[in-house]
Amino acid sequence: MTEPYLRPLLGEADSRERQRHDADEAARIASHEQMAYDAGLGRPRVTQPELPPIKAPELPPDFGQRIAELDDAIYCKGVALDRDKLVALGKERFSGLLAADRKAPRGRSGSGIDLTSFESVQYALQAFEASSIPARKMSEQLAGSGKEREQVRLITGWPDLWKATHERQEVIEDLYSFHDLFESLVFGQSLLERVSPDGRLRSHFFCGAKGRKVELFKQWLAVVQGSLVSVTLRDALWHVVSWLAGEKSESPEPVELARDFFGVRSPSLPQVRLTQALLEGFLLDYTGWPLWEQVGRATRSMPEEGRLSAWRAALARRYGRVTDFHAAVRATFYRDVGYGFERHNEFESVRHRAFLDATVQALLAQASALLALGIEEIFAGSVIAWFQGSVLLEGEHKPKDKSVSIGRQLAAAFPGFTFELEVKPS
Amino acid sequence: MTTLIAIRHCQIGDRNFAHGEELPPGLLPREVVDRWLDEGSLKEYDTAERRSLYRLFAPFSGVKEREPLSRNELTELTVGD
Repeated sequence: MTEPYLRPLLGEADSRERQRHDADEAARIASHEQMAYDAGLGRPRVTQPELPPIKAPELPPDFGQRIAELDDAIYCKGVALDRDKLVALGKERFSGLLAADRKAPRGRSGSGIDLTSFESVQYALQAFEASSIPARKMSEQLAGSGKEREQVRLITGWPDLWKATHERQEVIEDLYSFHDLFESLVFGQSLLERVSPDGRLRSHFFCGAKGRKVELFKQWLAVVQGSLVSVTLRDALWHVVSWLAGEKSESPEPVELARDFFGVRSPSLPQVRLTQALLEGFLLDYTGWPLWEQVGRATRSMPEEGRLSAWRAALARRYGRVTDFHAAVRATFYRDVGYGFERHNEFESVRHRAFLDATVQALLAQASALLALGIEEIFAGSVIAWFQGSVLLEGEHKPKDKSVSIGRQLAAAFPGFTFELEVKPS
Repeated sequence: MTTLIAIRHCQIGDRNFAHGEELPPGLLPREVVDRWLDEGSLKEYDTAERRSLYRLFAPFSGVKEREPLSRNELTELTVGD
């Protein structure tokens, strides 16, 4: 008997056969998927590249001991302050604070706004996010992109108040004027409270401090007694990073860069300040929105993210070794996440930032300490304070004449490299 | 402790105070303060709501009473030990 030409459609026997066939096929597919999943679990992890060799300065063998001895000597000696001048300057600045308080806008119902409190100011302005920065879309959230932009939208403290673009620029400037005076007075008052009966202030602050407190101290230099000279490591950040990266180019002049970027012959102070902040951001490997935030915080203005990125790219092309160094370091901060088909590399931005900042800060501290030791070697007993990037001496010294000798220890520690020193009376 | 704030412009002796400006502690006798508070020419805030600049910076403002700075301010903004 011959087979019918057309098979009967879904005859009972064929239906069972088809079901068995479909089940077998499904099991085969599932088995393949499971094998691939298991293989994904068992596949050897992508080998993470090791950190590129991070140069370390060749410190003298007794460096630790010598800097500890210098710190002890600085602490015991103290800094001579003129108490009367300190009070007079404090009163003058307090009057300025009251004037700034009067000027800052409060509005009809704003008498309860406490300008000394960021939370009070933030609530009054309703400044919680930078409204001019687009919020993350749902599609971005689902794709896991736009996180950095979302992060920089937040206004979390005084350094971020410039992001409150729904307010007039004058309002923000007035608030910052008040805040700056307030911080200065807090510091100045602490100087007054710590002066000993012998008229000297003793504090470990004078042994390697950095950051905002050093800026505040410089606002009260006029109350330090005696003849003072300041020796500064010029463009310290540039020198440290270019030494790490092996960059041989001359340190860039922010004024020249500003001329290029802004296309003007005589850049304004805000333009030069922005360029300086951008250069620092590039040296510290900030990119994209974090760079925008870093420049904004330094200048208290709202830079254009697109322009910043373009200018940053120009710096990256100009200083290729710095770019290559940062790329090599960044490559070591990717880690495997996810399983099977979802496996991918994720950049560990927090760890990367912490590593880079710690490395650069350590080098700046070492360079500053070597400068202090170099000066102390030539002008024994003259150093009254050393900070990140600068040293303060008292007495009628001329460190400019001895700059080669002073820089000898730096040159020995950072071979093939010359730090530039800037000497001026304080 | 409380902080006294001028509501609307007011003149005390040869000093003018704008709306929202703090009055120095001890400038007015208590009964005058009470009367002006009742009239709405002054408003009184607890220091938890609005701190007194005069008391925060007593060495420079000349007032006797003092108000402490916050722990964060002492850590971040003072010269330290």
